[in-house]
Amino acid sequence: MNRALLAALLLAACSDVSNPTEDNEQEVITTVTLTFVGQTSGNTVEATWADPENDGSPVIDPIELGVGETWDLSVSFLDELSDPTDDVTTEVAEESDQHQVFFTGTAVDGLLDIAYADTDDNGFPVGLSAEVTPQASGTGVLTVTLRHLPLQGGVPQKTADLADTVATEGLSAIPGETDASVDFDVTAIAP
Amino acid sequence: MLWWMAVAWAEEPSTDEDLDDVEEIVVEGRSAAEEDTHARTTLDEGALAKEAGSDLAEAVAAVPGVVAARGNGDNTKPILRGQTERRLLVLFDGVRHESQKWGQDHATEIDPFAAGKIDVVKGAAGVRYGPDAIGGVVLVEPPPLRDEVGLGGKVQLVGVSNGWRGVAAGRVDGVLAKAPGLTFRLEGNYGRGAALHTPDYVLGNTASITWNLGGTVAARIGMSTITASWRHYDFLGGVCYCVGAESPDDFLDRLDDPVPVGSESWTTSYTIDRPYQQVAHDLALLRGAFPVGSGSLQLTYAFQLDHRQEAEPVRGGDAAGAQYDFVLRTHSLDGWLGHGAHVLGEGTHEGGIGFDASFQENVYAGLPLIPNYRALSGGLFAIERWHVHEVVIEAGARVDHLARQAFLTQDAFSRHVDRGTLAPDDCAPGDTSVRCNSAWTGGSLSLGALWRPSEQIETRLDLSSANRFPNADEQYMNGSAPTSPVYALGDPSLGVETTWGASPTLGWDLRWLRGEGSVYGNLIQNYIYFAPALGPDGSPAFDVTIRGAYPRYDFRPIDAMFYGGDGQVELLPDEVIGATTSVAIVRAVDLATGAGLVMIPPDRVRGALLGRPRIRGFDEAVVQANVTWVARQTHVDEDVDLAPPPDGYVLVGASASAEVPVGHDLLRVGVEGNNLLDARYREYTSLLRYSADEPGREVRLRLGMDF
Repeated sequence: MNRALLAALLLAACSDVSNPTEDNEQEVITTVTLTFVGQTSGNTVEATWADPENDGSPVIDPIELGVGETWDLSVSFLDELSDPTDDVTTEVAEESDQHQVFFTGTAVDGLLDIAYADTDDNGFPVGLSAEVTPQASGTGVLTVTLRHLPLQGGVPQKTADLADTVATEGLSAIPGETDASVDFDVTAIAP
Repeated sequence: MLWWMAVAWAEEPSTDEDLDDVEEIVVEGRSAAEEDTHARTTLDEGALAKEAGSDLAEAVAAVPGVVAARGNGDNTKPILRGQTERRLLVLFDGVRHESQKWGQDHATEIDPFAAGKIDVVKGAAGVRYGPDAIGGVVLVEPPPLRDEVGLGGKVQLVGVSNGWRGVAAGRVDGVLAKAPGLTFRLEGNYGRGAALHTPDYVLGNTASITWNLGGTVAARIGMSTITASWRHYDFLGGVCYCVGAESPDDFLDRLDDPVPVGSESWTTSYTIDRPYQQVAHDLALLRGAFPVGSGSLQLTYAFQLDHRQEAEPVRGGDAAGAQYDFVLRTHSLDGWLGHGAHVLGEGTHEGGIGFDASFQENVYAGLPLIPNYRALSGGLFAIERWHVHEVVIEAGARVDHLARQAFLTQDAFSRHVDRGTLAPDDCAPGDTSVRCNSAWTGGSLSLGALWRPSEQIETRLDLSSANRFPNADEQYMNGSAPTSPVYALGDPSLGVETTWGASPTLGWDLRWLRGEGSVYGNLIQNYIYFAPALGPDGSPAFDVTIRGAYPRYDFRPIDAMFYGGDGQVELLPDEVIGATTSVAIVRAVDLATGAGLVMIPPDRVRGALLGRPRIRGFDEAVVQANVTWVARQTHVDEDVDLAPPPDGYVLVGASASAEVPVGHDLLRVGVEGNNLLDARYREYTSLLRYSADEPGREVRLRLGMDF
């Protein structure tokens, strides 16, 4: 190839081509953090599911909770691709009438009892805060799903009984977009 | 050097039919369509009028072997003999259409109202049309410009019941008495539709708005013509709520849902909500056609600007803008130098040489899908055609080259290095990006013959090859598209795809029975196949992302064979009562495993009964009842797809149309009903098929006036 010609054409070309960007009002979540605080012991257990490069290679912490007390759970969502890191939790809280966190998996089947501890303006559960009570010692998988339920043609998709529907029919039975859905290994340990 | 690097020449040399004088320079004897050694179907203005208000793919779906594959809303893409737009070249006014055509839900950004005729050339046609003409070529040609002093034109109105769509289109052609050597055209149209509905529910958020505007000026200077034109295409369409971003688990769980979740609240609304896509495509061209001795020279420069934006449902709503933004700029220069017909022995020969060159820049912002790139490509070719008695023989050869510089973000590059698809020293780091170069060269050949042993019979044989260079997405994609629950992984080392095709065609006209049938076989070497990746133990590989575990798909070269046949028969074509039937069959297999490839249209047969009543005051009155039968696709490796192919189906339709002379003008009226029995069905090649049914019954009314 004629290098002079190529160079001339490339110089004439717009420079936006050689400056690629992935920032385009993207909505990325790379990290889910669960923070458990024991109501009686005051102990803190933190577990993170993190894929900061958003490339499908997550680092996942296991969760160990003691049986015999109730734990206050707070859930947070981060975008670590942004610089500085973007705390998506704030945006979810601001639009809590269009979001809900769901807790599913084998861990909610006899191992943990999880109760929503927050509500949106309509009085529907949100799930950024919850109370978790281990029922017995054992292991299981806890799936934490953040569902975005935007208005469709002005009609709300979020309704009061979504959590019940998920418990009986699964996540595929409710509307909305999945913003995050991650699995944690949970061990409940007898005191 | 620029000459050498030229790329894909666009249309055959006979596009300068603008003015009669010029036509005489280049057209000898029969038209290009009649001389083509490929199977070739022409949709003329009358046939196109029946499809008025449809998009390009729907307009050409009347051709046996073509299927309009629905995207995720009110948009479709053509599939020709099993090949989607990656391997199907579309030319508008002789210019290769350049857009983000790799996306299954990216409809072809061409206005069918701007067409005077559409030719569908079936089979590999790389020599004549350049890279990507693996499955065939769709040639969209504007109608000839006006050549006599005065004004003329047409208006068309279309109303469609499903989605309450309305379309209005107009065109004015003129030659002013003061400047008889100057001819001009102005045209435009606007269409708007609400959400479509299936027999059981509304496809929420499938409303759309389409508009087009164009202008052309041509000047005749002696025996030469200079033509300048500009066109703008604009589409804004909602993406069905039913194909929202789901985790793979939800996606699979929902496959068996009889109705999509949440559909009870979806209404037939004109509102376009997130998610949506918005596309603007501009084409500006400047063409000169000059006599050279007994032949002609044609040069075309074209600039295309394609801007595609896709918006997702996001926190913050419309303030967030579009989440995916693609800009593609293409400059192209094509040339053809044709020599006139020369006597050779008992016959004559004609032909010439051509070149094309293009410079393309892609600028993308969004989650990792395709990189920015800059590409320079060129092609050089020669074609000769001999006529001896009732035989035409055509031979051609071509060479093409493409050099591409892709600019990856550091993160995207690191991902490829981590995955082993790029080595650290494969690319050059820069200040703001990592530059990865690739280049390919390909040659193609064609040999064809046409023989008319009698007035009733015509046989054609085409032996052609064609190339395709890998797309940037096939090389570098590393991520998940929002509406596709798979994790796609590109391969930067992909090579040139080459097809070798053979296709005999038989046409006959016995007055009471007219038809054309064609069979074909295409071997495609290094066919880039998008299929599930397998882990070391042979089981499907998964990528765990924050939205769940996604099956990994990769682009890998295989040797594939496409074969089949298509054709049409008309019984009593000139009588009061008649019938037509058309058939299309495609098979595609991976030669190494024998497995059937995905996304290949299933077998289809269409039959129609026609009545041509002779009614005073009406010309061309036709009433028709038709049945379309589409099989279930059983020739496919079901493990490769996310869901098994849907069942076959039968659709019933009917239509009536006529032309009414009104003074010197012509009024065209028509009414058509499609899926009249409101059958509930899913189409194998539709993106909607994983989540929703196809639209149900529709009645179209159209009214057109030529003046």
